Amino acid sequence: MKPGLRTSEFYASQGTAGGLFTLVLTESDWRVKAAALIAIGLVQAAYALSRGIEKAAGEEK
Amino acid sequence: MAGRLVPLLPVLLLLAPGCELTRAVFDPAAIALPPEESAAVAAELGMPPGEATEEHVLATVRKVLAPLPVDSARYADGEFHVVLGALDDQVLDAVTGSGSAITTGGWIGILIAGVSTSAGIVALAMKKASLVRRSRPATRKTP
Repeated sequence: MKPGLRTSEFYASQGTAGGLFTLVLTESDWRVKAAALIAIGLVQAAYALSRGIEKAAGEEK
Repeated sequence: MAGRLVPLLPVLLLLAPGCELTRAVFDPAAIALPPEESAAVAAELGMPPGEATEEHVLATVRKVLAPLPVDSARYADGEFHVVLGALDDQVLDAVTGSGSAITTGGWIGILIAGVSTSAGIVALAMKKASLVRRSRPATRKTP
């Protein structure tokens, strides 16, 4: 694991994604499954964006 | 920092009515039948409830409360005490009608939770970036 990867954004996004993935596995309703998958995508995209923002700020420095 | 976002996780659980944990918390284990249903069961029994056998009471309660799953039923203290079984999606759909509002609220809640968590993550990163920029020493333009 790269240094600086275990940030609060990392924990928040991976924890939320883990909870949502549990829903995907345990729920039978397709709407709940689809919503959980979309939410996982959103959270992962937000995490990638946050990494980009922090990297850009670090490089400017 | 992480402590501020952790409270979002229980919200996810509470917003998902289909979640087993939420059901375990909110589903009543044993209930006393309301007066209307009690009267219906008593009428269906065809005899004073105190004289009916436990099997007869259970069969009658199951008949009156169908399609709800009834695990056990007994008559005591002038009331019918009923323990309901697990309410799976088929039962919920049968009771509340197809496309129940419970499930609709569930998936909308999951989407809202996903969007708000994403917004929080990006906002946190932007805040960090602004702090990094602010901590940069001021540069002077050289002539």
